[in-house]
Amino acid sequence: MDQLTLAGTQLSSRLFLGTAQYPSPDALAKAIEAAQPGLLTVSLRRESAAGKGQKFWEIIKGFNIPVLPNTAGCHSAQEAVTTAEMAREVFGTNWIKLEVIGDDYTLQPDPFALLDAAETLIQKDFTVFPYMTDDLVLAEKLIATGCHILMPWGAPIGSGRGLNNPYALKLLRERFPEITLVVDAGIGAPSHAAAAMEIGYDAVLLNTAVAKAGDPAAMAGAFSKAIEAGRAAYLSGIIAPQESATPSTPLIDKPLWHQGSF
Amino acid sequence: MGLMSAYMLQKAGHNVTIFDADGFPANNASFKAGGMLAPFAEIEHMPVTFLEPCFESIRIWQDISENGAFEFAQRGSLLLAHPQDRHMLARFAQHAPQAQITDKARIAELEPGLNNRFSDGLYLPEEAHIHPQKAMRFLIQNLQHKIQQDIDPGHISGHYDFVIDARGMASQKTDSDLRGVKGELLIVHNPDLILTRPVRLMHPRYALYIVPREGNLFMIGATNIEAEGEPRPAVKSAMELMSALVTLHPSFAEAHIVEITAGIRPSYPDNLPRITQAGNIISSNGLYRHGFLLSPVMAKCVLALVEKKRNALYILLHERGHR
Repeated sequence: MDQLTLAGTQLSSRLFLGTAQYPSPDALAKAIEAAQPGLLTVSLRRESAAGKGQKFWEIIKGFNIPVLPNTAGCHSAQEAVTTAEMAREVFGTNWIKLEVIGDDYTLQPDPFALLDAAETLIQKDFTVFPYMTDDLVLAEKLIATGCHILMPWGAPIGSGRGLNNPYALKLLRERFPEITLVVDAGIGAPSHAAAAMEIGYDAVLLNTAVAKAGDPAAMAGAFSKAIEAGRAAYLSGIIAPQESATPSTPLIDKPLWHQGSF
Repeated sequence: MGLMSAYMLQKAGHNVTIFDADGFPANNASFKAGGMLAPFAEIEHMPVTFLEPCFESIRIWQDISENGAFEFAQRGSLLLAHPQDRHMLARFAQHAPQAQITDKARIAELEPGLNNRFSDGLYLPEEAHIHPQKAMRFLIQNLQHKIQQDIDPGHISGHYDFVIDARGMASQKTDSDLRGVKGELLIVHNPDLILTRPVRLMHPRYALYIVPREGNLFMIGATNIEAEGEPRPAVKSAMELMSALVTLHPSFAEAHIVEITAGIRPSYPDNLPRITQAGNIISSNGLYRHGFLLSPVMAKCVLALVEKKRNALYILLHERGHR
């Protein structure tokens, strides 16, 4: 079985699912049940920070799936480091999805603050999952600080646009074959997630596409299948595209190629 | 919910006594609600089967308010988005095909006070709003037997044919499925703007209504936070509500704050209401953010239970509690 192992923990699926924005706690629970994700991301939200929102937390804990707290909403390295430390206390894990927003409208991560915060958090013994743009140089620098997992965006958070820059994402895969790469954000349809897996990404993290779907549980199931299909396709060796047709059935009555048609 | 049930039962000829620990009016979630009757806007929180009951509720509110006892207006609601958030309207319209696309000229026609500040919007002509506090006061005035007392429904069930338990969050001790969802809202006085209908401002991070009321008052709300412990509104929420308000129209920067308040909404895990019956105790709870939108049909269902009549509404609301 082709299972993903992250920082020594074997995950049951390559689908990472966000837990925000669902129509109700029940809808969230049904989506998790349908998707059986390998990882659940949770935010250190105002309710959790205040020790409230226990019902929500009870649902998450009930599934016994590893959780990845995030620093959503942080705008500076210092703020992200403080949030990560609070998340470690609240959720009891040193894993952190590091998110430092640089632009409020695209929610584009700030590469400079991200690097600063990653460096500090790695020194503090965190396993950092940086949410980043698809910039090659930034990836190199994050790896140099000690990140073993990178999470470049497919497109802005919640946009549902899919993979905006497949070229840049492929380049990261080719350049860093030993690093765990996860497409995080911007996924809208299961085909987007499959496309990320087909180019060799290790996992896909998504939230809005499921939470805001007409039927979140059914959509969660669809994503789960798409990610499995994309991974299987990648491992099977996808044929290279070409311009001309190749007959898939040999024709015994036409032993020679019709040169005249060219 | 309790007041509406009592009102309907009394109107149907039943002899009703209403108990409330906090008195009349109580300091509960309903008294701090916005009073929006917006089925299309709320349908993203409910199954589509609730759409018709929501409109039934609007008709009931209209009937009750017919003598002008409290503000009821059905002038529709207008959904607006800043240019950078235009895509939010398209996503919303996917769930509400009844929404009419409005351009700059149509928005100016509907709400001239907005001074052509918006070019993109949706109009939902069937939506309505009421003044929640005035509506509740009207119901209270029309109830004959009111007692301010904290009672356990089980303790008095022997003295009445039926006991309707509509205590909201107070039932949490015996109903472990119930949780509180905090909603915060702001009321301001702005003499420099006239709006004739509720406006929903589409924004990636907020879903906020600005509801105009008599006397140039505007209600803006509400937040939706999974928390039940702290009843006071948070500074962050107040900042979010105020900044959204100013982006709707700059005159709000000079408006005066009348009130910032918070309520805890009783909610079940699916965020849908339940009516259950055990012996002669009927429990009606979990109206989440739809207190005014659903309480008339919930009350109608309670009445059907008391009178042992089954109807489609009864099946939709009552049998949810027995899944």
